[in-house]
Amino acid sequence: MALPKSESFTDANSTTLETHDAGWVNHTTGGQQLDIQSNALHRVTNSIDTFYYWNTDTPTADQYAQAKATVVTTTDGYQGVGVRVQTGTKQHGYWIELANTDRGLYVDGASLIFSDSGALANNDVHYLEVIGSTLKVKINGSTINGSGTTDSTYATAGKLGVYMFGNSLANALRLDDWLGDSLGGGGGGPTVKPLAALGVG
Amino acid sequence: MPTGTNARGATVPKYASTFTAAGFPVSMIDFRGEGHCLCYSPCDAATDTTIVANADVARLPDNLDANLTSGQVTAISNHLEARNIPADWVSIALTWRQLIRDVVGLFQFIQRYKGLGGPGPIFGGSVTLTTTFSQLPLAARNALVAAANSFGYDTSALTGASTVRQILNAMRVAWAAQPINIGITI
Repeated sequence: MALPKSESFTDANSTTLETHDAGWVNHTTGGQQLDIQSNALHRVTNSIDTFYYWNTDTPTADQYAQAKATVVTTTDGYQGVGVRVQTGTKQHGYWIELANTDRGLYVDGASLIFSDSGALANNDVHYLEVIGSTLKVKINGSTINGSGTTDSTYATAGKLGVYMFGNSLANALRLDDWLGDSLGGGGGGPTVKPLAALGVG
Repeated sequence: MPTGTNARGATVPKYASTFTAAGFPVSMIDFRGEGHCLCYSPCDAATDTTIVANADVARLPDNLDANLTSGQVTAISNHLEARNIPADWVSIALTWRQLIRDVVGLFQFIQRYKGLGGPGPIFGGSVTLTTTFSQLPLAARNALVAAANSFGYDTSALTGASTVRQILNAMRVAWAAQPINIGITI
């Protein structure tokens, strides 16, 4: 399937992401998994950063990924998407990690190059793009990291990804309607696309 | 400012929580693995005062298009050199914007070095700015060359006798003072 790649996570409960579609590759150091619950993405293991990337398609160096938060609780965890995910080293790539108490942009899940105390809410669409060496994070189409953040860690383009972390399975943080694509040259990138218009959801 | 570690174990600006607790975003471009960063936050005066009171912070002026004074050259040069960031090129002929772009250009090179698997921190052991390229561990030499090549930088003037200072300065210059984004464009 050519890009853009959309994913609505529609499958039986407890189906792991890689079983749902073998195009998804677990990129977590410890191998902890994500699964599907109520036709949305959910994590299997507590308190572990869990990363996957979409391996079937290779975007251009300028690329974006986005997803919708469907369950955000007051106590539970982070979710986000990834770009320029480096397949050679687990968890390497640019990732946003968003909660209802704070929001961040990470390199390799290790260096937090942007953060604020803003809140992610149910049905918020979170979006990450990289154009050249500039990363922008958007929530519902509004950029939250100003003019963006410059970072030159990766020499190669990389894949598109999805991320979750949580402190409690009971609260069941969930994510849905993932979308990723290449970005054309010369522009500032798209605003958040209406998911329904892309046949997602 | 220095980098530190947040509750989740991530590398952050040392005083990031001061900004975020006051409700302000904070952006960072770090000297990856070396414990220092350029940090920006559109904070209020009270938060600014709190941050600047820390002795390990060098606050940059709001007007980035002013030239450095001779006193500022001395102060910022000492601050940078103490953190293994070459500053022998800093002068009153530079604006703060030019200085920041050059330092960040060096940070970009080190980020790529780390992204390509370069061991670090570079300055964690016996390595100083006077160490020569040939004295560096093989893995570091390979990653430095790979990083320079990945940017398309010309390394023909560098030899095994080139010092780390000369290498980092060459990579800084090769960035060619490109604008950078850190919440604002500089």
